[in-house]
Amino acid sequence: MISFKQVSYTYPFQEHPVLRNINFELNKGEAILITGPSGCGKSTLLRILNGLIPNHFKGELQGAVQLDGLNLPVPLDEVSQRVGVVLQNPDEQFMATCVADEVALALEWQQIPAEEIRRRVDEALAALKIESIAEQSVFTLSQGEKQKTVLAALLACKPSVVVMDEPTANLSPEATEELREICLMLKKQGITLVIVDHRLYWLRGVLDRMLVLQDGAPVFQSDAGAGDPLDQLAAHPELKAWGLRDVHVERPELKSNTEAEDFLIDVDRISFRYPRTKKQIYSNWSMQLPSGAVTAVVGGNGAGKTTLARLLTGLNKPQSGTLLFDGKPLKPRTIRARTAFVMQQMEIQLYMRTVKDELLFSDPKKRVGNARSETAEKWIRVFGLTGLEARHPQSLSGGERQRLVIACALMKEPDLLILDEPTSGLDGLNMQIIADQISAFTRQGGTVLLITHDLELLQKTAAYKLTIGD
Amino acid sequence: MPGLFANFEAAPVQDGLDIRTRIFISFVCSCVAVYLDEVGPIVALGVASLVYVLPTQRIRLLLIVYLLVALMTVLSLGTVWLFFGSVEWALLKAGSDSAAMAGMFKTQILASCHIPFLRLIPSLNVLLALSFSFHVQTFVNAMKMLHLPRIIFLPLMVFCRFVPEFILNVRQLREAVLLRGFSISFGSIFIHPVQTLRLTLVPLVIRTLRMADNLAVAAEMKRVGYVKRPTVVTPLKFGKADWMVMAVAVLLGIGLVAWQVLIQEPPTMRGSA
Repeated sequence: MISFKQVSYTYPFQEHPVLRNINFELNKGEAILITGPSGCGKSTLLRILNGLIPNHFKGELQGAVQLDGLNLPVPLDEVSQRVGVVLQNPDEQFMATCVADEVALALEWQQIPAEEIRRRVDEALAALKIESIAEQSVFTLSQGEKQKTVLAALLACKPSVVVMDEPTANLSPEATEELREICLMLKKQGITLVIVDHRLYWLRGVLDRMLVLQDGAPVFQSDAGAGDPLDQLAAHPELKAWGLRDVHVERPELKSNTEAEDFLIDVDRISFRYPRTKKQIYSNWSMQLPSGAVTAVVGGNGAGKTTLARLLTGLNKPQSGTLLFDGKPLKPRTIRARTAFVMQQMEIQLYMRTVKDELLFSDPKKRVGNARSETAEKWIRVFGLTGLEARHPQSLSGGERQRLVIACALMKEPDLLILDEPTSGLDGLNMQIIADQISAFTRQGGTVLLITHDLELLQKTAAYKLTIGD
Repeated sequence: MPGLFANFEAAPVQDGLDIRTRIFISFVCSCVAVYLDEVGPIVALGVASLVYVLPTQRIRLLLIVYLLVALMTVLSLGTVWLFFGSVEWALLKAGSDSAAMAGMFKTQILASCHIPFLRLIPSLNVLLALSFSFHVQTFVNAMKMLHLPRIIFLPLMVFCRFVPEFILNVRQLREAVLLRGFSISFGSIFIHPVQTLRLTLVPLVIRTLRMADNLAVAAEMKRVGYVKRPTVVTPLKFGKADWMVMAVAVLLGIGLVAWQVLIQEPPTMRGSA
């Protein structure tokens, strides 16, 4: 179905190839995982598979790539008839505004008769068990639902290959489990899967092959018929050096927040609903946030995890009840001066011309003279950004950008640090750096409220859990 | 126009009338409103259009719009009164005979100055009703059915998909900046122009470029634009209600025009009667 023979690729105006000596074969209905640290060439390999290389990105492609009987390169529309792609952020590939329309859209542009489209849409929605949201606006879906919508749209086109780019980066553990089931279902239908992901644990029992890349070249390739590729990887002596995530991950057992002794924040019988949607998020809800530790917020979609962060930073005000900071009620402006909130969208949190300027800009202007510059340099060092000081923040890689935004938050010297999915889409190495700095911050007395689906990050940092909702 | 995308956060509710009916009603109402210049028929048209817009239940926004129109009316009446009043006063002071004429002029203009603003009300009513019930996907379907050329249809489709997300991005950006300890308001553009531009433009441009990039790839993957006419899966249908409402609108329009013609019968004919 798919075969790569001695494939290398060099982007235009670059001297060195980003991919070297890629060799693998995949049969119909099999699944392969391609993984490796950030910048290892995974995304480039995906671009070859979905036809963007060499149709959009020119460059130099060497070796032989075969895909469903086609010898690449071929025009993009021939590739897209056979290969369906799920991007990391499914929102970014929606073209319609409601679920059923999105699923039908690609079929409409193939001029398939309306009757046939309706049948295929119904089938695809049923296969992914999302019939109930067929009429919903795509803007109101959870991450898991968005991904299923994209998958349904692909299924309706009857592809022979489905490619997924970081499919679990934004999924909750429950949604990840559902995705695993979906992958098995796709394989059963004879669809070949190419998965690129940093998270490994969820793919147990799904994979037939595995490829680990480093600096564009394969460093590990699983043997067919030698057991689950994940077990083969776990047994490899050099595994630690590759900066991958863990092969075995379990949900950590955390103490309840009520078991702590010192508390930084006291939420007393608050009620809150958003004025626009009128949906009641909290009614007469109380909680205490342990001081000097990491508290993980646990709760399903729409339970109000992000809303809590918004209330604690004064972006929204509760309709009733009080919110005490260190035992005192504070004005939103004062609260914001003492808290730092790292939101999910990284691009909209970076403004300056260089990495160092960005850090200096985050300084609360308490420091004088060289102290500011020295502190900025300290954060550059501990977050592994040395050598990037003069780069434009928006030109950094995903992992570097995420580290910089957190460094900026710490530069502010907050009492409370709120992190919303700080490690989504990051490799093991980047996650470890962030986990280490979160722990260091709490050791110095800082309080952290952590909103995350990342079980590995929870394992490494969280001390307490705060349950919202049921 | 925030009303245009106001229903984005709610599930799509497409009630009753076809979008083409709503566009037709807006057109008829606006034409009639332009023709009418007697208070009676205009007020009647206003009441009729109010009955049409009230079921959308967006009373607050409606009141704000009315308030703005009232404000504009008062402002223009006030300006006319002030201007001609001062001319009349000056002429009186100078002992000129034309003072009485200026006074008459003032009264005449004041008596008809409110008409353009009264005309605004029915037009606004029907336009608001159109925008409140606006559903992007239906709009896209309507465009598909009208067989617009790709070069018009595709950009419109992307625009419909893009704008709500852009609005969301702007909102998130404002909050991100607020959390950094800055607030962006209209005033800050004048107080710290460079900083405000940096805080708003840089992230928005980067974000928008990335969105555009991804959307282009997504469109390519779905082979959007490869054929001239995509299939229309859910064709819009004219129901009984559509025909009835359109008939009522046309009859009402004719009635009101007739009413005005009767009022404005030339005085000679009235004299001979």
